[in-house]
Amino acid sequence: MQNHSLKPTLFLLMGIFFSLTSLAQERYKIQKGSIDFASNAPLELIEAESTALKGVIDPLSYKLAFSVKIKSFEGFNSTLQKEHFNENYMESDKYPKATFKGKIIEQVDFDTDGTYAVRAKGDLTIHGAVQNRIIKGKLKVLNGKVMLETSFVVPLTDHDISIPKIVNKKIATEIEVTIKATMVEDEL
Amino acid sequence: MAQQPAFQQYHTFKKNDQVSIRTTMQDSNGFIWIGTEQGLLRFDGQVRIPFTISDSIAYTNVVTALAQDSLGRLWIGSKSGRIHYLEDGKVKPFEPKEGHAVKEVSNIVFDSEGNLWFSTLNDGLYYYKEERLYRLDEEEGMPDIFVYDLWLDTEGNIWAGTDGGIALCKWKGDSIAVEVIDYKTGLPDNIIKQLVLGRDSTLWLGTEDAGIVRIRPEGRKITIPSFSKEWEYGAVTGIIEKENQLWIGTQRKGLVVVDLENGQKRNYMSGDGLPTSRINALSLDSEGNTWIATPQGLLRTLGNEVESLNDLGMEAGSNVIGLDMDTKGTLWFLTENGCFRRTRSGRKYQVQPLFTENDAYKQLTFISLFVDNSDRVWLGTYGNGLLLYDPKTGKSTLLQEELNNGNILNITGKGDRIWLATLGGGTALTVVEGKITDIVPYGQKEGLSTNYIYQAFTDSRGRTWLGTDGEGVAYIETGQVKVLPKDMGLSDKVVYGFAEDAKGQIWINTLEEGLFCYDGKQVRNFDEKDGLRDLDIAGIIADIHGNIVIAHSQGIDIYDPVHERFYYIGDEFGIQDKKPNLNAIAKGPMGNVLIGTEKGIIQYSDITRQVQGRPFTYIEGIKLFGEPVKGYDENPSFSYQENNITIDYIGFWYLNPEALRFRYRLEGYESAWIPSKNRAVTYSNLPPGEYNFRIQASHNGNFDKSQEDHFSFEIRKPYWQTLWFYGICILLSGLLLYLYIRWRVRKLNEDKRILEQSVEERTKELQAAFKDIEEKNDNIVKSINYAKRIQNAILPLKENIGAVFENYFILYRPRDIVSGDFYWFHKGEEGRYYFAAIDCTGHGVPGAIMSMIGFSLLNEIVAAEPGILPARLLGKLHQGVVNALKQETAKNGNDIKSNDGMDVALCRWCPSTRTLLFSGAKRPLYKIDKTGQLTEQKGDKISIGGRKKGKTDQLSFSDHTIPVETGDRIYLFSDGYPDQFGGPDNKKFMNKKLKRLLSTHCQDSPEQQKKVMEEALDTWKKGYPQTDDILLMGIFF
Repeated sequence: MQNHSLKPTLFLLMGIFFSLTSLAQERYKIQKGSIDFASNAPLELIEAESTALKGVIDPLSYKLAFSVKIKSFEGFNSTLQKEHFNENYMESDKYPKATFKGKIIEQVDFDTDGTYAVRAKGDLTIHGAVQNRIIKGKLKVLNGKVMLETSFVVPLTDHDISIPKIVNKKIATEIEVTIKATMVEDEL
Repeated sequence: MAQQPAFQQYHTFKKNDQVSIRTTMQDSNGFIWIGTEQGLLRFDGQVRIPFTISDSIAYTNVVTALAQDSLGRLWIGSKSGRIHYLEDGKVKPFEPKEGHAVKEVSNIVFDSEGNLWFSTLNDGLYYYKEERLYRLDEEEGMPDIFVYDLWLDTEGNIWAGTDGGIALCKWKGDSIAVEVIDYKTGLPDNIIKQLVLGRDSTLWLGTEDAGIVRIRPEGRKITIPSFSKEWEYGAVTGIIEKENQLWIGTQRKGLVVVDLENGQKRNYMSGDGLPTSRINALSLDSEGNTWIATPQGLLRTLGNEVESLNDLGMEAGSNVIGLDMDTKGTLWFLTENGCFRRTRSGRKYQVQPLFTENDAYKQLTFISLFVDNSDRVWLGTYGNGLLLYDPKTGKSTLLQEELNNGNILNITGKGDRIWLATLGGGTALTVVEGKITDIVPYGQKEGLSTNYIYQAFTDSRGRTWLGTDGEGVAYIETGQVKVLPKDMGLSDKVVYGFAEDAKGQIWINTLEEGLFCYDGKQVRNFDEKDGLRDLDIAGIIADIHGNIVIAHSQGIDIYDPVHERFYYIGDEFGIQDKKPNLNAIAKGPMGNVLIGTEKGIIQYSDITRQVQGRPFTYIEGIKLFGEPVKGYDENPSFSYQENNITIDYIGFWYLNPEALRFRYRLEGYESAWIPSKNRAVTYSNLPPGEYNFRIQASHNGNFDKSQEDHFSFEIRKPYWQTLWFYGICILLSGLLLYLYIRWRVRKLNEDKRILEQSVEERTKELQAAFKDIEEKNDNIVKSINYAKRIQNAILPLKENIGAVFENYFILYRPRDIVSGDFYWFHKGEEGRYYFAAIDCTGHGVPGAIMSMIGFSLLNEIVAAEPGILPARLLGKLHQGVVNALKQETAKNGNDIKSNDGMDVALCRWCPSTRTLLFSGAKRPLYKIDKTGQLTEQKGDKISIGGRKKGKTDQLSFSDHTIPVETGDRIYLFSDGYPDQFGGPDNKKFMNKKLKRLLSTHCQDSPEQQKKVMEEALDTWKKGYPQTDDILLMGIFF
């Protein structure tokens, strides 16, 4: 069994070494990606999608960050619905973006092709409210590209989004979110 | 051979398997759960039940952590990072949305709010709150994500031992704030692998290199205990605090047991009873056993050490008849080959004889041995007195003549006294600086009942107890021989030896009756039923705790006088059947007890005070007709048919599961306790009732203080036996009865009503009919009455008769208003008068009609032939009737009208000639003269009218002249008067009576006579109806 008191030191050294040799890996950035959500309520299904998803993953530190502009979501069942979504529920003028900042828990080898089941732990901020989450996802590394796929549920109460009782059969209390993105190495 | 506690090794799945045990835990029911690299096992001391944690993920079946939540569910952490839990006997996965940890789960804990916390080896610390899984890592301030152990403090904080020190996790609102305790705050080693709560709210920390560290949670004060300074046993994998000991499991150096009072350490490694020196984990159960998880299996120990010193050397042999230990731990013992000494050099022992071949004393037969507190060795011989050996000088001194007897069976000493038990009584020696200054014998001369003494034992009060051969117990106090009172029951026993326990009670070992305990007031016997395993006791002695150690051939029984219970040491040490020798029992300086047996020496050290434990029993489940019942509540109620009940129970006594005995009793069915060794009992065909099943377990046959479990239930009466049913039945039958009665009554009433109605109708009908009849009757009566008037009209007027006869009477009583009888009077020609009494057929209306016919005919005949003679008149009358009624032409004789007619009594009187002519048709005439003499003139036996046989015409009647004189009376009458029924016998009046009656009143006036006749008739007739029309004429001449 290794002596764990050495471990942090080693890691630190590695980190310094690799950051000095800057021809090492850069971070991955979303080349193409979409985020869609669905509100599946007894009386109505609302779906919307945005292709304006931005995100980066640092393969060394496993840190990642994603964001999307709320107003970029299209779909909905009517323009009025989109208006309500932006003005009343998400208050997009006040809180223009939804973001996730955190890191990947598992040690993923970004140099080796393969599919990795990972968990990302971080802060999900929507409507100005932060919730620490662990989100499962899949990373597929292929030919220098990273394909990211994840699905997770966002309870509206986590982010102070309140639904008036009158429409509670039309809007679900938990929103299903799916992200699909292809990421490529980015020039720093 | 090293000293060692007795370790009992358990196989897990198969006998002799070697499965790596990662962790163990005792649950709240008493089961020991064993986490192995091949899955999970539930153990109760005898039965093993495996549980597979199956999963497609590798290593999930390697169980690395166990915990029990507040609902009693067992939580299982595995090497794969996955967690499962056991609920209702089924293994279910714990699958939070956030996914699983990916590294081995090292520990699972539930915090004060019931949230699940688990630590992983290099995947951080997780907690699950409100259905969400959170991970604490560097982001939250964890010093490292390699987390070994978790501890919940009294404030609800979680202490995590990591590679980077202690992460103290505190709630700050909804999230966790991490405080780090490491080098900087005083830890000697950052790698904290164990956190265990000790006494006085101290937290023991097991580290990688620095051994044991102590920390006070409030204030974070860190101390390094002295026994841990210069720790040489490596990484700590388990800590248990037991009484005043700290048991430490290490990664590679086996088990370290530290005496917290004196800091002494004992180390047990592979070869000391352990199969390996690698300890994975330690846990403690409720009996005080330490469970040791190793890569090569599971072990349990209580901590007592028993050592078998078998190898005493060739010369000595193994049959040890006496022994003692000096203050330095040198063991002196006797065999039939002499006296030997066993010393320790390094880790090895050496056995040497005291006397070599050359020595004179070699030939002596030593039978008893005692080492005093100056390490001098006292040896008793058989016949040669006492030998004193001083190891410091090497000199031996023999005392023989000085003593009253040279056979010394036993030697004890206290203070400056040495006591000898000899065949010549007891002897007290006073020893000062190695020199015997005084010898005082106590024998029969001094008051003992016998000289044969087995042992002289001095207690804490200075009394020296003497055990005799058959004369019980005597003691010497202040130089005087005293005896216990006879009624205490010890007066005739063979007493081998004594011991004094923690309470100051004197224990007496007897030949056949076990032990007696004298508490200063009474003597109490202890034998098998009290828990003593064998009555053939070689020797007794008190250990350092004041418990009585009892050596017999089944092993060692230890009696704890404070808790009043027996403990047993036997099988697991393998010392049974060693046959200890009489009084070959001694105490060493460390508190160890030495016992000399035929097969060597046993050394027993009680290094742990027994945790007061007793077997625990509980009812696991019930079955109905063999089928397990799931989810029953406290006091279930079964139906009448569910009367086959099996109750499964379990007993826990890890110390010696074989010794477990149960007794049970079903209250409501069994009146006594029933002993059993089974784990289930079945009752079939239980009658309805309320029951309470009680089960107790014991390890020594004594159930007095047993823990008990119980299960109450009820078998309901079949509905047809319940009070409800009876009640309902009664009510129902009452109701039915009532209803029936009502129905009957109603029916009756209905019937009655119908009847009444019909009666009413009938009555109405009848009334109508009656009314009708009444009316008719009225009419009829009216018409008859009218008819009567008509009839009366034809009857001769009285003045007409009175004009001819002065005195006469006529008694004329029609039966029914109108009469069939009538009387006729006619004034004929030439002064002749006719009178007659006529009786027509019938009475009432038909008679009256006949009378009319008769009347009219009579008048007609007389009118046609005046002066006609009576007989001729009668003939003509007859003819007339026949003609009138057409009787000749009637077809048969039965025709009514053919028989109708009349009877007549007819007279013709001629006053001038005073002639009376009579003719009768079936009627007579009576004449009574003034003397009363009666003369009867019969009439002809032919009646008027009706068909006659033979001749039809030419009927001739006869005339008869009746002489009359003045004073004579003649009577004409119908048959009505004599035919009247009456009198006492309801007979006819008869002519005879009539004649007599008429005669006797011959002197009466007509009115008088009439009255007499009427009265006589009425009297005769009395209540009877009138039979016929009555006519009686009396003519007085």
